[in-house]
Parts: sequence; C-alpha cells; structure tokens
Amino acid sequence: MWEVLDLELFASGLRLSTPLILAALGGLFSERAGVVNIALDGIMIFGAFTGAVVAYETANPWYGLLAAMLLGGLVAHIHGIASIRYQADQVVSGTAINLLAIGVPAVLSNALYNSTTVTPNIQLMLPIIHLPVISEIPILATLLGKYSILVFFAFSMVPVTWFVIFKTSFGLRLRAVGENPEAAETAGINVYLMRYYAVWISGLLAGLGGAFLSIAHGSSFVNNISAGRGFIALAALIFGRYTPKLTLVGCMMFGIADAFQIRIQGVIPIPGQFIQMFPYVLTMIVLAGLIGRAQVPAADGIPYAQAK
Amino acid sequence: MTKRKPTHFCFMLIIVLLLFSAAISLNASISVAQQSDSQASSDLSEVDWDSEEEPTEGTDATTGDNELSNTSWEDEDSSEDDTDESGGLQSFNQEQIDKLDSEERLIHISGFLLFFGYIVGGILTAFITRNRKIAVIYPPELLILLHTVWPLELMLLLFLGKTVR
Repeated sequence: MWEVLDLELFASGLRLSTPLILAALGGLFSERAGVVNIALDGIMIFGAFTGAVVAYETANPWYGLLAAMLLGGLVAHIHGIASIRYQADQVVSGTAINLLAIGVPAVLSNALYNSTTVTPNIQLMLPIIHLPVISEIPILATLLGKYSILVFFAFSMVPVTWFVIFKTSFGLRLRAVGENPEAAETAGINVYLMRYYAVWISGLLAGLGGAFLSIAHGSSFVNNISAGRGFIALAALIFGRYTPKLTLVGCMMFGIADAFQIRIQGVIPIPGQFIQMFPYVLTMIVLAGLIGRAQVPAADGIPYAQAK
Repeated sequence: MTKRKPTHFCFMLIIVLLLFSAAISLNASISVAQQSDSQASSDLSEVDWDSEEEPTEGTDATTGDNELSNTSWEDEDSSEDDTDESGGLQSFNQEQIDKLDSEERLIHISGFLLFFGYIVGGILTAFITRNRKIAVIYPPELLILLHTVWPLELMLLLFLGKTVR
C-alpha cells in the first residue's frame, strides 16, 4: 500500500493542480479588485468545451487554447457587467454562469456532434516538454522531467502574478480598488475599469485552466469535466490568503489529494465513492477552518456606485 | 510563542510527503534491481546447457521447413527491385514518420507563435491605448471587448489614437 506514496503521486499531483493554479490565480485578480468570482467553475467548463471544439475543428491545439482563453474572458466579462455596471449580487451572477455552463456546452455539443456528453477526440494534444538535463537524473526525472507545456506555464504564472499584483502600478491600483474604491476614485483611478480588467483577467486564466482539462490532460470535452475544480480553486485562494505563493501551496495540496484518491482506489478496502470524496471533504475542512481567519479585501463583494 | 499558520503547516506537510515519496521510490527501485539480479542468476542456473534437442521422428531438420529448404534461393528473382521494395517499405515508413513529425512540429510552432503573439499583442495594445482617445470615449465594457479583438482596436487607433491624458 505504501507504494502509492511514491514520486509518481507527486508528479500526478502537480499535473492535477495545474487547472487549480490557473483558476485560483484568475480568482486572485478578481477578488483583489473587489469582485467575487464564483463563476470560476463555469468559466472552466466553457473554456474546456471551446478549447476542445476549436482544437478539433482546426486540428491545432494552440488555436483551441487561444479560443478557450478568449471565451473565458468574455464569459467573465458578462459576470463583470452584471456585477459592476448593474451592481447585481456577485454570487448570484456567478452562480448563473455556473448553471449556464451545465447546459450550454451539452446543447452545443449535441448540435455539432450529436452527443450531449462528449466531443470527438482532438487529433493533436499540446506538446509534452522534456527538460534536457533534469529528465536524466533519476528522482528529478520522475518529479520534474516530463510535463505538458501548460503545467510549466501555470507554475511560472505564480511569480508573474505576484510581481504584477505587488510590484507594478497596475497591481497597486487593483488592490486599492479592492480595499477602498472611494479613496481610489478620489486619487483618479477609474474603479470600474480596473474591476473590469481584473474580472477579464480572471476569465482568461480560468478559461486556460479549463482548456488544460480538455486539450492537455485529456483529449476531448466530457460532461462535468471540471468536477468542481473551480470551487476547489476558490477554496485554495481563500486558504492562501489571497496571495499567489500560498495559493500555490493550497492548489498543490488539493492536487496531491486528488492524485492520492485516484491511486488509492482499489488498494484499500473502502468503496471508491468514499475515496473520491476526499479532495472535496478536504476543501470543506479548509473552508470551515480558515474562512474566518482569511483576510478578505475590504471591499470584496460590495458593489461600488461610481460618483457622477 | 508565535502561532504557526495553517498554510505553513501544509507547506511543511508537502515537503515531508515529498521526501517520504522519494525514499519510497528509491527503495522500490533498489529492491526491483536486487530482485531482477537474483532472478537472473537463478534462471541461468536452472538452464541445462548440456542437453541437446533431439530431432522428432519422421522429420528431418533440413526438411523441417518443407519446401523452403529445397528452394534454390539463387534462382529466385533477386533483382534489386525486390530488395528495394522490402528495404523500400522500411524507408517509406521512416520517411512517412519523419514527415508526420515535421508536420506536427510545424503545427505546434505556428500555433504557439499565433497564441503567444495574440496574447502579447493584446497586452501591448491595452498598454498603448491607456491614455488615448479611444480609452476615454468608449465605456469600459466596450474597451474590454476591444482589447479582446485588439487587431480591430489597432485599426480604430488610426482614427481615435490621439493622446488625451
């Protein structure tokens, strides 16, 4: 039984944490600007569907990736318009997008491919990168030697996000808008525009995370492909106290838990359904234990009425 | 005494698990190597090198292959075409594989260039237009949509590109 805890577990965990990292970093931009983005899971589903369809039709996974990213941004923009311009309840708006994501891809898939549950397999998946020296060293080869290019991209986005949010003027304005939008507007910052940017970026990244599931990790879109990963990403974001580095730790923890439940099935005499619950139970424990202690941006979830 | 944060605890837990996994993986590879060595030695020791296979009754080793042993291979058409065909089939498969590999590489390179170029172009366009007339006269909702289709936005800059702030 102990062999399930070998380095392959970590390698699988890193792969499975990739969509979580991308979605969580997207959520970070949005939450830091003061807009709650519950719609991460729905955007991931839209991204996965778009990526799979475009990659199949164009026979190029990169076109699918781009289309998934742009559509994710557009879907998030709808959420932004509802939340920012019309000051709708942000949780309700996000939930509406999640509900749309359950039905729209199935309808479109049926219209295009006569199947509500699965799209055709794409011809070519995203490339697997073999790191030149590392892939020859015994332990590092298993841990770091061979991953899809999106895995490396996701992990490299963590320091980039940290730099953009904490070391650039754009990031400073973003945080100001999320902490005290009135003061930010007094200082001449366009609060609406900054929030729209943040929500749009969150959609771009979440769409990318969804595309990973259908273009890099799998080879087609299937119903419920995200399996609630958008919500887990949100939990990881809260767990990480809205900082990129700690959010990465949270995503890796959930990714490894996910990999663990896949590997442990059949090894221990517990029904598989209970084992599959493990990452979600962990999410609930994290949220129940930490949500009171997480420092939410002061104006997060509060609609802002721009002064005329 | 400072209270440790849960995230730090989880980070340490991941590190400990990583070290544990590395130890398990190393141990597994060592035991597999040892096992294969012992198996190899036991297998070789069990082989009876002195015994020879006796031909079965009624058959002749030389005629065991039936017509093949009686075939005069020199009379066969051993023209270069045949040789090229059999060798040619292998080279054709290798050529086909190389061609597919290069096509695949081309698809990845062209796709990546388009993907990367579009993203960078969008970021640069958003940066360029931040203090232009186009950013002022259009509401933020439309501006975000324009950033999504930034080639169109660049065209609009011809008319609305004046710096205003």
